[in-house]
Amino acid sequence: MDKGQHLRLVIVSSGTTPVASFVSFSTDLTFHLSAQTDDSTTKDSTDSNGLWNEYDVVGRSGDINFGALVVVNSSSIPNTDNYFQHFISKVSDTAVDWKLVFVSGENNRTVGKTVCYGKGKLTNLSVSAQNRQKATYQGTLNLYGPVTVGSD
Amino acid sequence: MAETKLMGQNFRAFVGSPAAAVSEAVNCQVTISGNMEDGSTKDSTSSWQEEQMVSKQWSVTVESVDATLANLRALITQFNSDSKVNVGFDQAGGAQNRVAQNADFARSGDAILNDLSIVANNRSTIQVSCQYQGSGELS
Repeated sequence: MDKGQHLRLVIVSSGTTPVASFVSFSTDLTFHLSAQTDDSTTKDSTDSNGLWNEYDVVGRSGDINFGALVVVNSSSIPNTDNYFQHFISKVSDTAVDWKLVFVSGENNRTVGKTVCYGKGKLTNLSVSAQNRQKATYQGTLNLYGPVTVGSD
Repeated sequence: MAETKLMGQNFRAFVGSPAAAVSEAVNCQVTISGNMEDGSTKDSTSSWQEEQMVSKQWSVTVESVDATLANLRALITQFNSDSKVNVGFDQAGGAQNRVAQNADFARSGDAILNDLSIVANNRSTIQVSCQYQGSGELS
């Protein structure tokens, strides 16, 4: 059985030299796809008792919810991770590229096969800071456009 | 006549053609529901509604821990597809509880994979949840 820590979200920065960045100190991840269906039953529809609805897909959408620890890091420290502070400015109408990848190796940071990839907009970022507990945050990436299955 | 109380692991969802039990499944739920309409008219002599079924639908939800690369890719490919897939349920037994027993209650039909969730939390097994919305008759 595959463990949750071996499936990670990667944000791919735009630009001439795209950099694949992990969500740093991430704890949880939920990838969700949903198809909107419409009843396509007509008077032509016949079945054993003439009651069963027929459906067609009329729209698709999805979102990725991810959680991580809030970690204070200096901007002078070079890294390619996405920290909480980096996400603050990414709550915008600008789509980012993302990938869902299997990982292995040290700190689970060796990128393996890609499950799927696409674009998304960070639409929600919330911090939970309770007394005597680690501060955490949750982000929601609303998928923008199609999700493509990996082929690597 | 002795009754056999079926265990959850012996009630399985089957997907595809040929139909195969959903691998590594941990839970499955079948829902059949009808849409009702008040059929009472001025001829009805009481204040009570006289409900009648005008249509009905079905769905199957399966949760599994089969999070292999091949399975995840196959599910997303199916989600992206406009084609419908055969989905049903049956009593299952035999090797890995995957052999359909053709129980009297077994049913199947065309369905749309209309909801897919992959939950990957740290130090937990990856969970995959699929909801298939039936399209047409469950026979």
